[in-house]
Amino acid sequence: MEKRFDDNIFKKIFRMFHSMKFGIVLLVVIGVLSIIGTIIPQNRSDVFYMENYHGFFYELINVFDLGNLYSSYWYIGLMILLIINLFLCSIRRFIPILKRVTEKPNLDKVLEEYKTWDTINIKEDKINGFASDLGFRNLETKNVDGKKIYYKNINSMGYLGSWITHVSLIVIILAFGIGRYMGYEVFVYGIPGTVRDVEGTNYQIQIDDFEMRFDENMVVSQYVTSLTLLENGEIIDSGQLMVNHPFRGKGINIYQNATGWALHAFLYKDDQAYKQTVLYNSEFFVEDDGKIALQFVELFPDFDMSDPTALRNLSPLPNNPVLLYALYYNGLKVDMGLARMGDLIEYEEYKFIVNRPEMYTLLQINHDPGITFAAIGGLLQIVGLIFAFYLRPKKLRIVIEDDNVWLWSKSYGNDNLYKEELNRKIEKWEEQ
Amino acid sequence: MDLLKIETMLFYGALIGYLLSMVLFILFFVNKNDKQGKYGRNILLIGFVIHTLALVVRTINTGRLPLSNQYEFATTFAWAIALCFLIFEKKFDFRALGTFVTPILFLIIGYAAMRDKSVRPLMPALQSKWLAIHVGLAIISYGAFAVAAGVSGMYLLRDKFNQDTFFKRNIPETDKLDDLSYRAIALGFLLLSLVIITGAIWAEAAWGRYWAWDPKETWALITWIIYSIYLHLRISKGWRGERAAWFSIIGFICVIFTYVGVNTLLPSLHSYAYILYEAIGIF
Repeated sequence: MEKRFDDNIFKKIFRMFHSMKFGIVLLVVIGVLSIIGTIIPQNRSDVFYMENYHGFFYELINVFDLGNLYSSYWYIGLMILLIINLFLCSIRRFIPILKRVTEKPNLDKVLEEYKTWDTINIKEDKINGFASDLGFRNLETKNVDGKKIYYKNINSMGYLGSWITHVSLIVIILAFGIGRYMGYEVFVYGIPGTVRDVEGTNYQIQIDDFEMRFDENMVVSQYVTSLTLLENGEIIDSGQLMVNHPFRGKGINIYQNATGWALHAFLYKDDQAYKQTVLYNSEFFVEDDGKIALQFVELFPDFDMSDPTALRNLSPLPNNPVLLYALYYNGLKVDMGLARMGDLIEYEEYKFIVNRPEMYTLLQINHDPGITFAAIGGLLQIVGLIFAFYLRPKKLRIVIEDDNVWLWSKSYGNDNLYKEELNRKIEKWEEQ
Repeated sequence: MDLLKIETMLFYGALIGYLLSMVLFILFFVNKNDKQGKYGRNILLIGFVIHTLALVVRTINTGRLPLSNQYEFATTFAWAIALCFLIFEKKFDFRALGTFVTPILFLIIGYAAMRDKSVRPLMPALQSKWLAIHVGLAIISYGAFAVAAGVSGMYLLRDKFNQDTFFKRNIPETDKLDDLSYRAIALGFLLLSLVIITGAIWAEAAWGRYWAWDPKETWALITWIIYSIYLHLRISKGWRGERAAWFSIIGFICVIFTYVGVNTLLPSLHSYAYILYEAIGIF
């Protein structure tokens, strides 16, 4: 008894996993959760959620990882359940669908049933024309006991449409997972002349040049980076990339992601040159064991001197660059202000000078081994949907006995529009 | 006279045409007067021609198809709905559909009228051959869903007043409406899948990821899920008739949110003004 009970439980679970009802429930849950993911800003710091959501809502976000919803284990778990559902459903349906695709017309059944069909008044020599008008070309015929049977199944591949679409979803979700867990995404930035390691690889990127192109209205028309790709210090490729035109080579793709300003900063201690660096937007120039630090808060490339409190630019070009900085001494903010290029920023024994503003480029480096599968999945999906919606399987059977003509025709899904078309065509050919 | 002024005049000419057409189509239903329906259809046709001219002028003025911002998308979307209606009306002799489609059409073109119409150069992320393909497909897909929602509205009305001779004369039978709505959804669903796929191809080139859970992408997926549930229930569970009609209308509300709501209510990479200023970081 116990064993039988277990068998039933397993069967029930198996049935549930491959059932359409379960698939629909999963889709509804995934849809609702996805809506939540668009309402709650994603991938922000814990502080952000603490400040913007209070009490119960913050607890919910924290406990269910709603700020990182699409990467949370339970959302991924739902996706895995969906794959299992789609997979089992596809396996279970494959043989019956294949049988329907390869099904031959059952003429014995035709002979049993034809007298229950409707009769039409189309002459025998017009049958092929009528069938062709309905989309059934080259009808097959058979003579049985003085009866002539015309028959044809068309668009049988259409039965596969829904199945292919389901398989495509499995491929797409798996491809996304492969990309996520076996690929990588890193960012490098720098002004021309910078060489950076690509984290987690043997590659280095040398930024040869960066240019922002403007149109006649001084609106950015393109960002262009020239680079050299190195592997263990050896040049392996070089080229140019811009927005919408990534650099592709050696299994990695490099994208133009963003840009910003950088400055050359010099530190003097007791009037002696002490250190120099390239200081990027938002970065700190920390020296002397953390005793002194200069923060690059923001650069105004064309500062509007007529109203300095407005902190406004006249153009994006570096015609009158002014730095908004913050100065720290022994960890305490001691000064904040504006400095033009070459101005001295002084505190105790330290002096900073900043000059030569340059735009830096921020590059995104991706390697996604799942992308080809995702493309195949996308292609399969379109093929599947075209098969499902526009390769509608249809069957036509006509029996002629003496002067009587019986007709039976059916479109998959019992489509009323097809019935209407059929009646219209019958009327048209009966008149001829 | 500059091209923008000509376009604006034509645009408002079309808007007035659509408004008049909507009023006539509503009167056609209220008064049960066939003549008003005929006038509604003719005025809509005139509005459509003027609208086409407005889009042609816009295309000449910008040197590209009008698909790049909220105004351009909305006006082209309204144009596509008008075109779909005229085709349906001609093919299925289906004038009463106008009473259900013209309010949607007027809402969309009204939304366009409230958007900034100035001509601006394309930001780098939009300078791609995929812009016309992706957005063009989205317009046709959303247009098909709009028609499906309109037909579903007719279904509900026809179902409620199935003995009324006016409705019998002007609205096809419920079975036919049900199939028409399904066919429009099937077309919209196929095109929505293509919209998502072409969007993914473009996103990979522009942003380095083919899927990033951006709110616009996610809402396109949610819309896709809603219509896929509709298709499953219809094909496998025989969900037809009233329930299917309501589903179609709810699906279209979701389409409208994906189009308008996401751009205005949720921060998204598709809100291009946002990304422009973020990326440059200087203004």
